[in-house]
Amino acid sequence: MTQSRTDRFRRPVDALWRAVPSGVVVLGRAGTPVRVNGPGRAVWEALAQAGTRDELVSMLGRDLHLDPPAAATVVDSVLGQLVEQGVVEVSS
Amino acid sequence: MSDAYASVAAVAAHGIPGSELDPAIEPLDEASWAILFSAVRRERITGLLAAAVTAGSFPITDAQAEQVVDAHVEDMAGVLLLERLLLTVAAALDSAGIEARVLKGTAVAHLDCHDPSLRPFGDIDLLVRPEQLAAVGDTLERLGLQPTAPQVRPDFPSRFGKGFVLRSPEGLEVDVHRTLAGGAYGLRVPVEDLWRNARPFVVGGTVLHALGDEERLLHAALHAAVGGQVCNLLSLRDVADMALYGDFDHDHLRALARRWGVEAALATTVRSAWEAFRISDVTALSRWAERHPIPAREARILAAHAPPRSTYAAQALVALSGVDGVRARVSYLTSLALPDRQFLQSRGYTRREWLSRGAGRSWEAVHQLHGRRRPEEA
Repeated sequence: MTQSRTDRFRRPVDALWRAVPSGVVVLGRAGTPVRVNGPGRAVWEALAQAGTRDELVSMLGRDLHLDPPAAATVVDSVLGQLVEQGVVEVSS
Repeated sequence: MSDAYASVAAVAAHGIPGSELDPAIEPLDEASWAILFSAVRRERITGLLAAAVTAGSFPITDAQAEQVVDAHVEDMAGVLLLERLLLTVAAALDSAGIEARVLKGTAVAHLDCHDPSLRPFGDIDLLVRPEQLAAVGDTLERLGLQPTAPQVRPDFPSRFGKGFVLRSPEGLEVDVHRTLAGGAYGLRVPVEDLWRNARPFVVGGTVLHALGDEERLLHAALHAAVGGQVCNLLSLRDVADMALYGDFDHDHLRALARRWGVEAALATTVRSAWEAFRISDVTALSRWAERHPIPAREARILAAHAPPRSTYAAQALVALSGVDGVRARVSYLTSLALPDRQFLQSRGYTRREWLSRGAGRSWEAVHQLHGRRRPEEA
């Protein structure tokens, strides 16, 4: 990821997605379905409100009882995937 | 009820508290699983199976679970592509000053299921006003959609038909309705009633409108009764969900069903849903449905849409009961007997072949519907 630590991430209000038992399916801007599995679903749900990467890591660690490095790995992976598919808005 | 059908019905009944269908108690062997999974996909109830597995009420192996997850994700990916098309179409219609109501799967998923991921759908269904059908066709064609088939005659959809279907370059279909169903029931529904109430819902941040609660339940019942046999369990599940948990007014529902002449379809479908899912709960609607008599004429209409009698000729004949006036009936029959050349070409018939085939099928249909045999069989 090339974003700065103060960048705020949020899913757009017009995002099309469905929660499934294994996670979330999100429709990418190019029409490609994106699967966000396991703990990534919690990241997607948290993105309903704008938050920084560090805030998301903290939230995930707290809610899913993950240690900070594990939470950071999940958040970076999911944000990278979603930003690449154009389904997360990034603001400074 | 066969074991296989009972297992599929048990999947379709997942989450209905009053259902007495027993879920499986141990994973199925591979052969039985293949049969069940194929039926689950055909009935489009993969989401309900995924939910049942997650709830621990349908034990399966890890390999089977992987199949379920993949199939459910595939269904939902298809649904999201359809919703994107819906938003594009809705915006284009809005810009053209055309009002529309979202029907069937999309509306049911967002308004009548506690979880939209349990309700997949295979196309987009929109209701528009009959006088705007042509403008809708033009608007959608400007978006790159094309009609899937020529009409019987150009004015047939706006006078007698349910509407028409267009397909996007990606192969996604938009079913444009002027009424709720094809055939007799679709012709009976006073279309102005469909625009009196609306229920808003949100897709991708955009507010769309579905039919009102009572109208939506009647449409679900009509679809289950005369909409063909594809995904029948899913259609019955829609009816069960709305009948058990819907926010409808029972008296208004029955008054509307009477006014539309679809009480038999409603009663039959509610009975079928209660029977298919072995629902023990008794509601005012299920009690009424159980006691409502089905007149012979209505039974013939329902039979014309149910295998083995569900032929085009049988449905066309019973639809005559919904056409008002001698002149309109003659026009209806003439359209069916002498369709446009493009329509015939699309089906690979000459006019002579069409007439000959139509006469034979109509003869069979009359005798099937009235339970009589051909003279030589007597």
